[in-house]
Amino acid sequence: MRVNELRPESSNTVPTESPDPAAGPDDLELVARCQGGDASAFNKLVTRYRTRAYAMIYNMVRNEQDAWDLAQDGFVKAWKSIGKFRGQSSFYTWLYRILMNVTIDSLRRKQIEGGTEFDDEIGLQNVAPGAATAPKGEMEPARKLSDKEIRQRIDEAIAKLSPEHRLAIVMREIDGLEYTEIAEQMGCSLGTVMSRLFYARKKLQALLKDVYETI
Amino acid sequence: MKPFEEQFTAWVDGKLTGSELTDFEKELEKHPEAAVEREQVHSLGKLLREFPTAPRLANPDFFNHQIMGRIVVETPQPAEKKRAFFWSIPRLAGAGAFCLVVSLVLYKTTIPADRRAPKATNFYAQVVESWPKAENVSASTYYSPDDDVTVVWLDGLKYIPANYALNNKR
Amino acid sequence: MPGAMVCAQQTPSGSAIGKGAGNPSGNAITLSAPATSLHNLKLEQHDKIWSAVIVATSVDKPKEAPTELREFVPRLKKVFGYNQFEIAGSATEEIDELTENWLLPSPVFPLSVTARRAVSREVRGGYVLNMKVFQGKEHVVDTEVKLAPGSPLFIRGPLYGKGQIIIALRVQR
Repeated sequence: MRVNELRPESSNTVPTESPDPAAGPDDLELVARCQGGDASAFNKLVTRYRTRAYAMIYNMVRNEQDAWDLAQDGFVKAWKSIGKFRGQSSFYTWLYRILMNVTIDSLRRKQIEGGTEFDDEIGLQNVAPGAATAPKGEMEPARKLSDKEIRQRIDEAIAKLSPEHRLAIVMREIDGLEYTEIAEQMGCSLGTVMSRLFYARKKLQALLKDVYETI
Repeated sequence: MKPFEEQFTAWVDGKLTGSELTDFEKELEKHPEAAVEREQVHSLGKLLREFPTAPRLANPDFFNHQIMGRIVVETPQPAEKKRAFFWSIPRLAGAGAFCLVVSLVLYKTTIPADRRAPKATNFYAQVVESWPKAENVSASTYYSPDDDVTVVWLDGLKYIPANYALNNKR
Repeated sequence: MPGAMVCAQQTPSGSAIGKGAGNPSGNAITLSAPATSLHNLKLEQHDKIWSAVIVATSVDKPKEAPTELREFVPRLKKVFGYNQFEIAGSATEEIDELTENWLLPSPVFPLSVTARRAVSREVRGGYVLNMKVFQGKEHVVDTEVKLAPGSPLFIRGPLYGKGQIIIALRVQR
């Protein structure tokens, strides 16, 4: 499944989905069984959402082992809290929030352990709206890049972002969240979200301009 | 008034409305290149959505297996409901004695003598302590006495790509 | 280690291993050991330590595990969840007590093992091993383990391609 299929259609933009009816009981039925203590029902929910959960976390942490561990932590946390799920959103919306919290907590812990304070504007002082986004000397000559090369370039570029910028750009551009939802997840103001998006995009434009201009 | 980068981001994402939009677009008249910049941001977003970079989840069944294992271990067992009116101390003592007698009878009559000995195993592998030495690496011990398995479980090691030779002697 | 002086060297390729042999940087070293008679040195049967780097993967048609692994495969499957286990490299060395033994089941995972005979009965004449595990040149973990002869210890290594590296160790008598 392509990630952009998760983009929202309604005002609730945390990724939602309607499970394939052929895939067995629907989410709410499985959730009800989980709430009755049926762990096998939760196993089915894990199977249904593990790929997406893992990919979403990987996009944030850029490390397969960390993504694996955090996805595991997220699912276990979801199981422990499943009694609190009231069906006011889809199960995946609810799960997404848990996974995101687990991921953000982990990134914060790493940042604290690393002792680095984040500077939103680092390396991008006084950026005018029309400023060139890539130094011309660094741009590769125009040529058609393979899908693999494109993915590699994107991967490298996202890895160069600070955790806050990465979270903001992934939540907005890949997971399709609204500013308010990003602010809620990251525990910051709307202005900070917009500012982080601005600088994250600037940096990615500088690193990927030749890619999106040649495909 | 919002700083420029906030207004610009909101404008790019189509979130400015009313007088905010009018005022900002008036401001942008001084920056004719802003429209190009907006197109570029949109192209960047499209690129990120069309080329997801996350690798596939390796070994998904084990992913479930581990979660279900953790759930079993980490879920507290529900406490027995109190039945204070029925289970008085004499009744408890009586029931205990009865169970003991029944268990002894069953043990003697149903389990052959040669199976009564505990599982003899020569397995002994014990991790006394582990000390991670590299940044991001953590170590824990997994021990399953039923399976005779002891594992020093390292997390946070660097991923090795499949094309990396593990043994240059081969 | 009985005897007087032991001189051990690592080959330029870094693939040879031995009692007290070098370190990941491959320097030759000279070690002195507690003195006992030369006669004992020749007659004494040393226990050995076997180490292997295992690549665990999940495939549709798993290959049969190599002989050395067959007895472990059911437990490996249960613990790690993969269905195919292959040996990428292995090394067996005589245990030289209280001396640093270098094992190179793979050049990517050098192991330094210093062993002393365990005194507790449950270890059945096995060893207390102080191990240093490396990934390439990076020292990733130190660990102290007690191993009875024949009882394997597994170390969960990094992910490798779509699989998992597992390092196995076993004392052989």
